Amino acid sequence: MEIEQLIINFFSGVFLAVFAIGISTNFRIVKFLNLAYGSFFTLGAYIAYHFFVKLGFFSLAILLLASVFSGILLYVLIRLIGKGILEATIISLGFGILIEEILRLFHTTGYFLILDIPIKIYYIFSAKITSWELTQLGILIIVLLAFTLIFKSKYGIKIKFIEEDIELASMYGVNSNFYEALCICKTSVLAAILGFLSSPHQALFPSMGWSVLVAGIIVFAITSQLKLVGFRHYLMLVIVSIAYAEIIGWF
Amino acid sequence: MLIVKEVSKTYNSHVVLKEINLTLKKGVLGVVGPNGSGKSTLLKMIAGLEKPTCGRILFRDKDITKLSANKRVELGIVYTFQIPKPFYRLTVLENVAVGCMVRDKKNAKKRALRICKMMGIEHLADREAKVLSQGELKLLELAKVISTEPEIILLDEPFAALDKENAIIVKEKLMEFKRVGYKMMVTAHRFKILKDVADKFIEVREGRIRSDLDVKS
Amino acid sequence: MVKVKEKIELQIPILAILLILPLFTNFYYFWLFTLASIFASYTLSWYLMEKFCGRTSLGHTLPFGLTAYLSAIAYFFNYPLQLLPLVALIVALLSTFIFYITSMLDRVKFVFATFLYSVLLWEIAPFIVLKKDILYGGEEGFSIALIPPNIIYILSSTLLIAVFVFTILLHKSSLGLKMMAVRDDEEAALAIGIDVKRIKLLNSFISSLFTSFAGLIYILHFSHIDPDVFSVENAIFPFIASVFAGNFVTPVLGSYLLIFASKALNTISPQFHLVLYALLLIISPKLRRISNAHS
Repeated sequence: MEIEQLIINFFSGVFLAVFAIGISTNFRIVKFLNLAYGSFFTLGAYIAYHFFVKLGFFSLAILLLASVFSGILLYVLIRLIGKGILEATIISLGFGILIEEILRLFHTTGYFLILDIPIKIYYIFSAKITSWELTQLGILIIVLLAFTLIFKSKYGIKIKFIEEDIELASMYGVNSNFYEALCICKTSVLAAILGFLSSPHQALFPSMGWSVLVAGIIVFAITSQLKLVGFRHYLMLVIVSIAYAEIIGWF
Repeated sequence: MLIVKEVSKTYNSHVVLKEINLTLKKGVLGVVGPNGSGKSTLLKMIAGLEKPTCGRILFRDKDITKLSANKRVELGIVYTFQIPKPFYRLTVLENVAVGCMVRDKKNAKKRALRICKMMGIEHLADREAKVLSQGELKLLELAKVISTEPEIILLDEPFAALDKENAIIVKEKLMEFKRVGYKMMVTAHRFKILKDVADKFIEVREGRIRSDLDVKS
Repeated sequence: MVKVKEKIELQIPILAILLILPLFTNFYYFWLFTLASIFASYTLSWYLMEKFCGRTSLGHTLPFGLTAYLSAIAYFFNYPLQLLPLVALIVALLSTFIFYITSMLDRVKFVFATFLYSVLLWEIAPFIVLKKDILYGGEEGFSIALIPPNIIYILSSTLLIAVFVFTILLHKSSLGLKMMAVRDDEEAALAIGIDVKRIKLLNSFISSLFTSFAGLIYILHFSHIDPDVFSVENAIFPFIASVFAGNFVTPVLGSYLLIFASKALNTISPQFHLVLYALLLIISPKLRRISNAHS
């Protein structure tokens, strides 16, 4: 029984880790706390609800389009209107609420939606693990590998430079706008994919992203206290996420 | 009388100041030294804005090492910042009035206006501090300090980032303070800057007081 | 100083009109004006923290909603209504402590932390379930005795006048000046002799106290409370209502406008007003800069 619980909590931690990586990347590179992140997650879930049954995995194309568009729109709004970390965060909060309300307006007939599709279940030490949980473990491994490669490449030093001091990086010729836009798009796609994958496993409602967002922010806040740089920060984020999920799951 | 006894300061195993001993009985003490020697840290520790790693600070035979900065202001020790830190959204008059409230809340604004006149900034009284020039901000900083009716004024590089004209104005004000009888500790990079103001000098180098010089020698 | 006095003399008639107007309206608008005055008190209490200590809180649902919730729970356990102000006071003290501890963080982290409090309360509230003959609470929330609307109107108007007058007096006082000094630069304030910790504690208490009483009158107005009192909507309300802040009556006016606009927009579709809130949030930095430049 205990090993089962450990494994289930582990996979919750993996989910949280992928989520928190997105929050962290936004904060360290684009310099704001993306409070629309939970709404990107919700957007992904609703896209799955509407398109997965009809289009199967081709619905991922719609997901990509919608999330990239939302990410770029958010970036443009932040650049046009916001100055500084606080204003950008407030704008993202407004943007997140806007996404949530648009979804609510389009679904006035029902608050909770259920995507009823068959779910594959696997057993690891008699713990029930769904296919989507294994997929997100795969996503986490890919993300960490990607970070390893990026930080070892010539782009890694540029990213570290931006993380340290974005103004100075710009003065030294780093195209910080490009990295910022890319980061927001990448993280919005990541959040949307997580929402897409988790949609068959929970009731969908417009404000479903807030609790995940809060957990992600808490994990990120804890990891930030360790003041690690580069890949080590993201690795520690994964460890803290899993530890957090284990502790919360235990209670 | 201010006594600093065996005061040291360490940041993350980097020793900034080591076993500093000094006494200020009267007049103006000039503290000179290169960048990073610990001059500002020394003043901030006396002001209570930084805590010494070890050692004691005594004022009027009372140990004030653990006393907070605002309590030290009430006792009569006040600090001015190298880069002026006004209350940007308050007017010049309000900036000075805040300091006056340490001694007398009721007549704070009247006293503040008198101090502004004394410092030659009464024409700026109704302006918000954020629109002031560097020279005006320095004068405001000095006005704020006087408003607390201090005994000891700790001036951290009062001439930093000032042009010649404004530096002369600030120097004249410091000479006035000296005439009135305020005790002061003033930091600068070189002797030359403080030679007309200070009575006595110490040099801080590599975290220690290297010498104790009489300006006339 | 003369300019400030003139501005205050203009603000008082505006407040008076807002408070007297409901007496000449029908029942629905009387109810709506009362609700608007409750939210105006809430916003002005929040504004006390923002204007005087420079701390933008997205977590004022803590004193507001928690007072309402605990009052309902106290009533559930047969506490008399007359003791509910004590609940408001206790919640105010608790909020003071939480806001004070949080104010040790820098201003940006303060916003994030207070936002987290709001969302956490919103998540936890549905789990508050009590059992008598049947289960009470959860998503449905709790009910309280029905109070005549006239009494609610008197209570809410009194609170709004009290907060407004207090804010003006604070602005003119030495305490207010010290708070604004702390707002502008904490280190400089400490260096000039201000007890920064005491000032922050006082500010947290004053803001929390008025907000708690606004929360108490809120539940008396609705006779019911549910977890949505902690929603993001209520957390951001004072921020949006103050977006054009320049003097003390603009947050009040902003609250009234938002409440009336919300009711009007909800006739298009339920919760449609949140689209307005979202759009205002997005453009709020620009609006604040314009309003600061003008003032």
